[in-house]
Amino acid sequence: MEKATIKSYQPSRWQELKKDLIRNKSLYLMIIPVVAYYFIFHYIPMYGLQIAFKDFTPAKGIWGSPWVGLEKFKEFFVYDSFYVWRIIRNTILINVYDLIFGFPAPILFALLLNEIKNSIYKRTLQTVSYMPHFISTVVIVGMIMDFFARDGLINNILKSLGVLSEPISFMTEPGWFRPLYVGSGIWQNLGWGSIVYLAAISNIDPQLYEAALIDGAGRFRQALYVTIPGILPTIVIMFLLRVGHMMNVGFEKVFLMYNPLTYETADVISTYVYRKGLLEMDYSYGAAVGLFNSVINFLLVIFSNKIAKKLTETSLW
Amino acid sequence: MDWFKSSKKVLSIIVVIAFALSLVIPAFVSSTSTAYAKSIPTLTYFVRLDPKVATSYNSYSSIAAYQLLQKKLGVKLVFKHPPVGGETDQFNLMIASRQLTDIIEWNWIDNYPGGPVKALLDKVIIRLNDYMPKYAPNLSKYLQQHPDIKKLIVTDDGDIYGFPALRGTNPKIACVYYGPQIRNDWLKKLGLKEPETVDDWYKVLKAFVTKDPNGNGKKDERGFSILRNASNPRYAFDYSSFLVGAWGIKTDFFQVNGKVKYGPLEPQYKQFIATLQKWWKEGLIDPDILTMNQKVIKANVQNDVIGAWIGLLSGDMGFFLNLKKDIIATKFPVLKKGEQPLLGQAEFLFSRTSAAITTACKDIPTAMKVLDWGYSKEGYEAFNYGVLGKSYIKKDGKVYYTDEILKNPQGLSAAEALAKYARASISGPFVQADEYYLQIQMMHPQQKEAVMQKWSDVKNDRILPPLSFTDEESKRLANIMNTVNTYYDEMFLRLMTGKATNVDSFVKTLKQMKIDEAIKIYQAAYDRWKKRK
Repeated sequence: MEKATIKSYQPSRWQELKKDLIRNKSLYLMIIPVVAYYFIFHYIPMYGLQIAFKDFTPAKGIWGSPWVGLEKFKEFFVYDSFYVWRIIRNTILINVYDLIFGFPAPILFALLLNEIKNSIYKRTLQTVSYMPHFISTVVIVGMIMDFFARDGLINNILKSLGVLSEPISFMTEPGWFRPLYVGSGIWQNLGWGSIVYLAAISNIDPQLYEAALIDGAGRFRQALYVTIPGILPTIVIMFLLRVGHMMNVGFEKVFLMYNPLTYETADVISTYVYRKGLLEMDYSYGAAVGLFNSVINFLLVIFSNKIAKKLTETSLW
Repeated sequence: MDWFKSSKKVLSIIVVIAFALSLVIPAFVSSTSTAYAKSIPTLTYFVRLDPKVATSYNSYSSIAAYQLLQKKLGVKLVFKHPPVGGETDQFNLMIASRQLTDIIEWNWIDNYPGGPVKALLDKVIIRLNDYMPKYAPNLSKYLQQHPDIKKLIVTDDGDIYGFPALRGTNPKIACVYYGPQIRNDWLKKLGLKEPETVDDWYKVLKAFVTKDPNGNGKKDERGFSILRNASNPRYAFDYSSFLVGAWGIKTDFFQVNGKVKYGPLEPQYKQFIATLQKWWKEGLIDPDILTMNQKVIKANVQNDVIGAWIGLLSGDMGFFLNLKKDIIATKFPVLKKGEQPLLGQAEFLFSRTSAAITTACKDIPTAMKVLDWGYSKEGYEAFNYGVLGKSYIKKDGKVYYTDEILKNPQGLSAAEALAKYARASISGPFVQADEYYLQIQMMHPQQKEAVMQKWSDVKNDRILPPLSFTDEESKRLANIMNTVNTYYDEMFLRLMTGKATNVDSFVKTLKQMKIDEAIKIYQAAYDRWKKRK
């Protein structure tokens, strides 16, 4: 008897939730639109994923099209084997380069900005560096094409400096594709990407710097032993989010930049799927490859999250 | 739970939820409600917005001919123009989402996977045969009088799926509009004759790039270039058979004595590639053709950098002639002097585009009537000439375009000026008139010479007609050709620039990609075509 009464005082999970709902009702109300958005636009459409296993034709609709099992995946890996490894390799390589060169760039930029004490100069520099982020990809690629054309700005500069005798045709050399892609990406996102790190830096306790100063640390040592450890959790989180996109390359930019001569290094999964899946209206094929892509991305995030947890004690969950 | 008792709070929750849903709900409710018309029937019409119209209007409904059509037939046409450059994407989206317009004008043969047969099978468009005699008397009559054209526009089973865009009745002037053009003043300056053979071409181009014909003292001349919007020069060669035609082959599918062949597999292909490689190596070819940057190439022609190119009759040649460049057309090159070229650019009188009626159309008779009007005498005149007294006049029973069109005061080109009144400068579901070709496409004597003497002096019996494939065939074909085309696009440029030299290994890979099976499919479709009535 006694035990039972004691138990009745302990609220069950459901009751706890109810209590919480009542206590924080305004918070819950505020989250409804967001939950509804994700449910309606991100979860409901997932039923469409089944066309990856169907021979989908718009005439028959999603439910009416016949099941074909893993046929579409087989098409990708077996029938298209001429390209499949090349496009997977290109996709991964572009991302790896972007991770090696593109990921640290805003961090370094933020660290450098942090050292600038003249606030007017600092603000101007920041604003200027944000600018490219707001230019659309189409325009960016147009600029790249003009600057790097055979008789474009870069070739002319290099020629007048005497570095080159013959112009390099950057846009048609497979070897130049990745540097141009990653380089222009850094240029475009350097300033914008540094915002989050600057915010993290401003959160570091000034006392730590004072302590470091007393210990005789110079500027460089302060950055090394105070600033970087201070923003490390942010870096790890950003890194994990970045890894989640490992198998996705911005389709738009590659599509605008490449041409048949640079397919060798530039053709990526999304562009190949576009040519095959959308232009040929083989929607099932596109869905199958997209699903494959998402699964790999998902696994990569879980995997790197685990590693990050072990190494730095910071993780997404 | 006591807060539930308070009605004020309940009310406020309802308001919040309603607000949240109102953000989300409209996406579900598609805007079909606008389709209800009071008394006049309304039809939606999907068609690309031709740039010649876009210089003046943003919808075809502003074109005088369509205003007349709507008034005469008592209908309202609502044109849905996809954004320029995004036509294919928009079309594919429309098909996938099943939000079809009543009428779709489209190249069903090349730009719908599986072709018109598949479009009928997918229930995107409807078969018109049963409606033809009753609701399309004009087109029916036209097809009876021109069985050769009927053969081009039906499927193998004899299904009529659309109202065809026809290029007049005279293939000699209507079907030829793309070919080699050369700087006549450069030829004269260097004392050269118009090139006829492949060897002549080599000598002329070599002289162009070495002897400074533009006289600026710099070695900046480029011999040969290509003006055509495509991602790869291969398509210009596919399309015009320039150079490759000298060996009697095309770069893609063609036929000899009823047997379908594929260019790269033919022994002559090696000689074609070797010639291209030689031209490239010696700097005779404009390096900009690798990226096909049309703006740059066109500017270079204007700035006297490029000596010869393949380009359009009106858009390119006419454009440069208007700038007073001394340009002439040349014949398609041959191997031996005096031979007639076997292959050149040539289209069929049917331009492969048709206006089809979709399964979404609620009022088929009216749609038929609207589209059939283009083949009536009245429609023919409106679509080709525009408005009497404004865009054209009649003298001694003959039609002449006015100065408003030919010497437009606003500085529009003749084709652009005409596009405000008529559709003759944009092919569509009607028969284009000879007057349009003679008076507008060939305003300059050099253009007339190009079409009447130079470019049409070609045998051209090896070109394949528009074929139709079965569902199975087109699926298999798409599978093979997608792999092949990606590889071919890449290899063509590598072979041309000398980065790859081994044609044999290229062919070997094509065979691994099952090109032979694709040829067989083409053969079967061609055999069926020959049996068409």
